Amino acid sequence: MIRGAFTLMLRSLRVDDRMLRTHLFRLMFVGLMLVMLSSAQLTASFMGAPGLQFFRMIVYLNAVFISLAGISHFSTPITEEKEERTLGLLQMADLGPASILLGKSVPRIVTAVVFLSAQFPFTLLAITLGGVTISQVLAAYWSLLAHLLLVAGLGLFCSVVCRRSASAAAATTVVLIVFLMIVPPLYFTLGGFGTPTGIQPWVLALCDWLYHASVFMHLGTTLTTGFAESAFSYQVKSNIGAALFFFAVSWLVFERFNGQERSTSPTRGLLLRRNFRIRLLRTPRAWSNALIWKDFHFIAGGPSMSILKFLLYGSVVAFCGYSFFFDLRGNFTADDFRGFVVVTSFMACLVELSLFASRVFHVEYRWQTLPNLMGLPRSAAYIGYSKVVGCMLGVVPAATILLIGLAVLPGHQEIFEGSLGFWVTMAWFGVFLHLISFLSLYVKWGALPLAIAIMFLGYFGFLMFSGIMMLVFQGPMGALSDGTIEVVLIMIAIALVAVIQLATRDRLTRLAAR
Amino acid sequence: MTDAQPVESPAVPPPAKRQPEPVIDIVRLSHSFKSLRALNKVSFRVLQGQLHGFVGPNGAGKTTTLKIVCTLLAPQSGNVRVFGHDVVDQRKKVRSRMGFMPDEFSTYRQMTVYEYLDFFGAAYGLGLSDRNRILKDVLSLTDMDGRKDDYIDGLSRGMQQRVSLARVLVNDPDLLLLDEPASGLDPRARIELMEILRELRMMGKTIFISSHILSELADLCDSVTIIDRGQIRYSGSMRGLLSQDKEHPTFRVTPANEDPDIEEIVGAFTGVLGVEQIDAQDEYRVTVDPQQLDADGLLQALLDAGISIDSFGKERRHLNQAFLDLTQRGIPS
Repeated sequence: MIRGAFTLMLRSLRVDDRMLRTHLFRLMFVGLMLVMLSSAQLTASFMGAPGLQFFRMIVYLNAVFISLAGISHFSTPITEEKEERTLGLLQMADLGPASILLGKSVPRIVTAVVFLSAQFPFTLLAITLGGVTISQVLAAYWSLLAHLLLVAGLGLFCSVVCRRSASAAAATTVVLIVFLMIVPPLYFTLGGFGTPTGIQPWVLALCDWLYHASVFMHLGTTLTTGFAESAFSYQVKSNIGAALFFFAVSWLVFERFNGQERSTSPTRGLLLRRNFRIRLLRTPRAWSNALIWKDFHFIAGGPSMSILKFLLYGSVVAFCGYSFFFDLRGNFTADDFRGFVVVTSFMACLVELSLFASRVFHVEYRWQTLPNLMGLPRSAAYIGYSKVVGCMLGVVPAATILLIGLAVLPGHQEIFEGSLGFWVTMAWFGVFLHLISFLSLYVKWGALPLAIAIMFLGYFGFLMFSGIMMLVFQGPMGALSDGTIEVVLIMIAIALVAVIQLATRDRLTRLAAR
Repeated sequence: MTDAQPVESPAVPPPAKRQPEPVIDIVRLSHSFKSLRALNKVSFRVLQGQLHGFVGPNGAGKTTTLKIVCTLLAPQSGNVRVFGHDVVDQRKKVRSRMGFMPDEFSTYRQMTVYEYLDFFGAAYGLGLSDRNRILKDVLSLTDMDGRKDDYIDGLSRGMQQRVSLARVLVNDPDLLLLDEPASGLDPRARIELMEILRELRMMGKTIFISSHILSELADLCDSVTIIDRGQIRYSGSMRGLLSQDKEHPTFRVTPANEDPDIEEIVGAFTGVLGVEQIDAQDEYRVTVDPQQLDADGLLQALLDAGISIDSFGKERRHLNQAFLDLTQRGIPS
């Protein structure tokens, strides 16, 4: 077992070592830390505890990156072998489940740990800047390491159970979103209901357990002034325990899910055949713009998926409306309801658009269908935009709820009309979407988290840069008020969109000719 | 016509009949990938209505040539015209008149056969009634009528290859570019595919096919181009290639009576370079020096030596042999 696992590990580490981009990514992160360090040094004159500010930025950035890595880096070790149809060959080479699991997951963990250790010496400089102690630094890094192991374990489990990398990444994402983003507000909401009854105590206990196991909550505690607890906190122990649990379960169910080779081709989802009994639900004949038809049905899920999404979003709104009208908690106001409908449906639109952006060109690249597509007597622009329109039809349910919210529940139009800040955000969201689809033509999986990481780094870089500029030039940025900065930012975003579109067209053409 | 002077040059000028129009006309085409020169001043033509084979070892430049002809790759130098249209400047016109089948199975596996073909029909701009008619014809031609509602993912490799071929036909192209269409297919599927190609040629389509399966190309193709290391070794008719004399022509002789000394007797003739018995049969292969002895002279010498002849003929080259000769010995001077 050890020999097989060791061989696999060695191979993966060598491949990682040969890849320039992993070294560049580490270097980029260290570079960003140096910029942050300079910023902390400059702000030391008027801000207390600059070391703590610097260290806080670093650890939260790490926590976000580790969570994003869960969506791509950690959720594909076994599915990529399934998709390449090499898992059976590994099993035939007398590698048992434990060897495969260790051999495939440990190198990825090592790569991430190297990423953490590369920055560790620099973070110690935070102590000299003041505001943070060595025990805080150690506790924070233990916390991050435990979170990393948890995410790796979860990703490995999803990778064992799911057939395809896309489904493994989606499953990991859902669990992480529930764990890191839904549990904390739920915990506080349930906690505020007074004496728990029925199943509420159990739910509350579970939420309590999950809430305190979250890296973000624990980092909050670690970075408070006067922290003097042990580095081996409940969060560290629970995360490592959960990681071991996920590994053990992956081992136990490995044969059940991977004993037989199964097709990894994309599935049709809710699309039904032409000869299905209910006419309305049949997949219709191709439209005159066939590309829009294809992507609406085979990427966005088609009419059945749209109906399902409409019902899902509608029920969430209806539930909220019911809570509002019957005033279950006495806390909701009419304004809250309006805000909920508009903001939730708007967020749903943005999330769906991001997911479609990661698939719109990637599916053609992944399944090598670009030569057929780009060989059509159409321009690359026509093909690209038609595909985008097809995917955007999938956002119609969420957009409809949004429009209903805006039309029926007035009072929130100012979000879209009022400030230039909103349009700056939207323009940069456009850059983000373009970046996702462009990156999806380079990486096998994980264009979405990679784009988030790049935007995040870019945003931090921009903040650092503008902060330094303000300090160096003693506030000339303040003179550029009245929306000048916003307009410049929108113009930059538009220029970037144009550049990425051209680069995407070029990449598509190259891939088709490969 | 080509730089590689491979082209058959008939000794007698052909009768003044009208040559078919060139569908593909490639002149001094060169293309490199970084330091690798994939195509080096390649020139050849594919004539209308012909089934033209494109043969070469792995890495010879076949797929690069096909991708340039089908407009997916822009040539770095040289001129490529399809139906008289430039592949760079008149890309749309070229694409609308041809169908390209790449060497890998690039289909939307989650679609049914009918959905897949219907999608490409619509993508080529065909209306619903045209699509209905063409899809019916295409499914019938490729013998896929009974499987039209099957998911592509569930089809065998041979069936998927038929679907790919059907997809190429949905816009009723005048020119078909097929890159290794028979690779990975079992013998039955290969034979069936070749039958379909014969039918398509009879329908007047020009077919440019790259393949490794030489025996089938020899039976199928009217003309052939052999490429090696980015250079054309031969381009012309298949008949011309197969009957092209080697340096030392070979004849097959079957004596009417068994004679144990025949090898010795024939070996002593002036101009005979070698005699060998073929697989312990009553047939002999006689290699001669064409400067000293031709077919008539050899036959006369055999009769003069009192050897009764059952059969006599010049040995034709197989495409395999021609391919090996041309790709091993380098460019003929």
